[in-house]
Amino acid sequence: MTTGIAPDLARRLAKRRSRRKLWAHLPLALVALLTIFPFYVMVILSTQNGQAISLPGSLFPVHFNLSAYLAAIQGGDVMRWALNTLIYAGVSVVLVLTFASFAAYAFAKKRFFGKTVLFWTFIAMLMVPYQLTLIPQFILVAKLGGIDTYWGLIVPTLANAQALFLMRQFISQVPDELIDAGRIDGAGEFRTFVQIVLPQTKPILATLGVFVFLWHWNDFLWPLVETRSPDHYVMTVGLYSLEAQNISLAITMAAAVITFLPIFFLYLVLQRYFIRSVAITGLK
Amino acid sequence: MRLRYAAALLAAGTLALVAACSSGNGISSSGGAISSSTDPNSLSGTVTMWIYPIAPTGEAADWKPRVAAFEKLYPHVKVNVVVQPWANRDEQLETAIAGGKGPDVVYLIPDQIPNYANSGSLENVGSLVSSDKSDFYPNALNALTYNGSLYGVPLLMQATTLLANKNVMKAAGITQIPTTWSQMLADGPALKAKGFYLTEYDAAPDQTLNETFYPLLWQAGGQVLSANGKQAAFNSSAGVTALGFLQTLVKDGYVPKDPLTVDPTPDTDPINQGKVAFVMTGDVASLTPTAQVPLSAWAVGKPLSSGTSGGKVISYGTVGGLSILSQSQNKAAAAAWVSWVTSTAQIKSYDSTHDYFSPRKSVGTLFSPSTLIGQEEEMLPYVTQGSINLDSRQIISDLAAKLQGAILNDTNPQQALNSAATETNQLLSRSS
Amino acid sequence: MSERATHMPHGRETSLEAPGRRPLPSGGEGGEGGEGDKGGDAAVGVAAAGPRHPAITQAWQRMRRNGTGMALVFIAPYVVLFFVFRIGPAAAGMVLSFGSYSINGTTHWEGLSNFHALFTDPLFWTSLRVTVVYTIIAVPLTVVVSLGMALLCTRSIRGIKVYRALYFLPVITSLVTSSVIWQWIYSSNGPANWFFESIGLGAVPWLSSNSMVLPSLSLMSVWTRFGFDMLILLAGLLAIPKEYTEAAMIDGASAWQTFWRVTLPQLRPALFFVVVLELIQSFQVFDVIYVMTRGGPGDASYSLVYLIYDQGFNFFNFGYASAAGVVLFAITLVVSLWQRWVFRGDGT
Repeated sequence: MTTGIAPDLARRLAKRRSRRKLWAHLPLALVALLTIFPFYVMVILSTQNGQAISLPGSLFPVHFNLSAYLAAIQGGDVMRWALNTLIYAGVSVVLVLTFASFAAYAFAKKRFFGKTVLFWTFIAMLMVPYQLTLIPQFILVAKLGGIDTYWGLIVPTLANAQALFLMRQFISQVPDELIDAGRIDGAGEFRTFVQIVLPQTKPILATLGVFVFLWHWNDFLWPLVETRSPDHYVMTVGLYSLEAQNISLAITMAAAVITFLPIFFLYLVLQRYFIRSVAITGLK
Repeated sequence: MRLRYAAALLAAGTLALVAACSSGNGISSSGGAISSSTDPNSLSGTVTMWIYPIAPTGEAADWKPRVAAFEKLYPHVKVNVVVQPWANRDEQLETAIAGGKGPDVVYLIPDQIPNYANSGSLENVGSLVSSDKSDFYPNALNALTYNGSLYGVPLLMQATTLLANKNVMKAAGITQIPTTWSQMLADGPALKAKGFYLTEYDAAPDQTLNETFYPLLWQAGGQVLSANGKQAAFNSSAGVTALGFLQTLVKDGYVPKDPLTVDPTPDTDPINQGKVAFVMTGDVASLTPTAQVPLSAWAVGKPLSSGTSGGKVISYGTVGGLSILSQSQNKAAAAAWVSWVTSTAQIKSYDSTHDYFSPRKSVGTLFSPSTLIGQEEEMLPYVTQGSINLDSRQIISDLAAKLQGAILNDTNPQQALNSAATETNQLLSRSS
Repeated sequence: MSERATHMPHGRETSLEAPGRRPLPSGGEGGEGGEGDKGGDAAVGVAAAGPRHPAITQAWQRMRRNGTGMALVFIAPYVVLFFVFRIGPAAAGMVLSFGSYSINGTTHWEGLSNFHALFTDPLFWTSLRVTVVYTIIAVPLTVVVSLGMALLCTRSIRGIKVYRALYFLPVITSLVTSSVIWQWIYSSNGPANWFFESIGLGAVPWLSSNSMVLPSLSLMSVWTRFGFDMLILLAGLLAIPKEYTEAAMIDGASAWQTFWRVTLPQLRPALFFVVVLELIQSFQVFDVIYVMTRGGPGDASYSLVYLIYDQGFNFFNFGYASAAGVVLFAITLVVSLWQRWVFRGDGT
């Protein structure tokens, strides 16, 4: 990496690096602790159903019970709701990434009329709060006959401006030489995109994919409004439909843990992939 | 040529708007007023009812046998009971109505009736109770009435009253449950000395004043609005007394601090930690027993009165009713369902299993007076639903914020109330 | 300090004279250049040989030459979906600001009366102030923390992967869940105060004081968002070729100078993305307020979107709510465009 530098400079750099390493651990660990603490709270409190919460006892309890979990899912078809949510989130991720990356490629690498205005119109739509669009969007889907259907749930969420924005930023950094090299070899636009450009964006695709999946997994209001029958509920809506008005924090936390766990496992599996990929990008 | 995009934008938007407006949302007046007496065999269709988890668990399961029984009586009618989450239910219902996809029947509380009725979304159900109107408590019917028409048939009633934690009283050496504010304040020092709170007040701005400030206002003999409903009346001397009472509670440290800004959940609530002696507007049904405070620790007392001149023994109690949406395509069948669900026998079985009280006199007492909830049932005559109008929610919202400010910052009560009254009067004059 | 360090080639320049290629003019675009286009539309290679109808081949070649045809195909699905499901409802929602709307479908044209009512409503100005103050606190805080953590995470320290994974955890939690947990953490008998009291600092009125509530909400918001922004910035940092920073160090630049003159400019695209997204999020702050304070204490956390929600779904004043939404939209747009100028383009 570094070409011949003077030995004392090399020493300076090495000393700087090792000092920095120690310094770095402290804030890293501190922030990590602060980051995890609320999760610790969530899990611990979910085991304290029937107990009034006080400190420090409730955070370092001696007794645990899982009655909150039972209460959170009792009478509901959680497996079905999980399946519905999986379909909602899974299909959405695939389609969002597909549409966004195709469009982002065009925005990043191609010239066409009205590009900037169009792009900024998309970003501008992020600036309209959902409270204004909820009813018109619902009426639209209703008129198209999509209420209480999977497609009615999924399709309105597919045009994701954040995904487009992010993909465009990263695709624009893919060197043009690579793309041209593909064209020289006679690849058509489609192949160039799929075989050359997309692999370059793997890390951001993975990151974005996780993020879009999460957003759909945790979505409450749109599924609440769009679905009509309990066997079409998604997890969030279903779990809330079991909660009476005055329920304990423990039950709320239990429902939160139930919703959180699948994502957490998915995240554990995927994060190794995309964090590694992010690192690989840097070594280029 | 940028105009091309602007035009496309406008077109899309206009299209959506026109689509929204044009065919309305399927409002059809299916011939005539709904009547409650029709031949069961002539009715057909599917009735969808939206209700919420009123029972702590298993609300959906509760309705299955009822639906089965009804469908036996009305062989061509199918009933679909959907239990929706409490969370964001107004957004859900309003959106559904706007898109023409609402249910046929929905459970509403008095607070919601004016806005939905005013938008023409609810059907007048007066004819459903006309035959046995006298069997309903007038309070219950009034609570679901707007502009002279009835928009919901009462299904359940709730009462709040003074609840006392016997263990805390004993620990501080208090032997009598107070009946007036001054009596209660007199117990303050003894409780404080032992590390307890006299009572609790939830001042968070989203907390409905019906269960916090309004009962105090009424107990002092005051009213929220004038008799004709066009002027604020809460800045009267009764209001000042009530606010002053609250400020005293806060100043003297008789109430816990957290609930003044954030609604407590049952397990974080100092009440359930056994730290609070008296709950001024407590409801036995919504008590959450904890290991620290089991149900047996509680005793039921009469609602407080201010003890000043004009003071009243009074408290709040809501009503829950079933409404029929105007856009329903099955109004006759929906009417039959609502009538049946709110008949004496059905109310008796529903309310007794959900810890609520009956809006019908013919049901009689539901709970034994040896139980806490039975004792609370005896307080039903002291309970009012307040008066609801189109602006009630906004008045509450504005007033709650101002009250919280006055309580936290100990500002002059008359001034605080006057400033809130000015705002309210402006609001009222705008909408009339 | 070498000039080289600040004028990096972006990999944009293409060679039109690569051996073995028949150079074709890359012309025919309608004039809209836009950023990120310098040479981006390089000449298209020759189509594979084969007997074809000459006219079709010519048209095909022309379209491929333009690049426009394919571009349109690539963006078509996204654009259609967007216009129908995003722009349509948004336009409808905003057009409502010029009238009144009732959920039974009746609308009424009322011109600017909603805006007039809005601008004479003290609560509107309060909510505007609350939103602006919140944004001023939350956005810089989030960006600085994210950048700082990203820089730390570039170190090849043992366990860095675990740290990175941990920091992303709050992002995968729903905002409502986080708000409920933090509400308890911030309560006057909650862990935050318990900790402060045990180290002798005394309890803090996190959510109960007018002056503390917005900072407290911002802090919590940073917790929920910094992981995502950090990852974006990290990807951006790792994409900076090491030669540049090393060249700077060879030239004797200090760590700070290296960061400021070398790293930061390279990070512009990623930074711009993060800043704009955070701005949009902050201006629309609602969920945390809805769960944690409901606009309180008093009106101290009554944000603009909270006003929109209140007026629309609680009081059924959809026209009025829509007017507030239009104002919010305008403000956000203006500020974002200003950011584009600050960052000198969106960095591509």
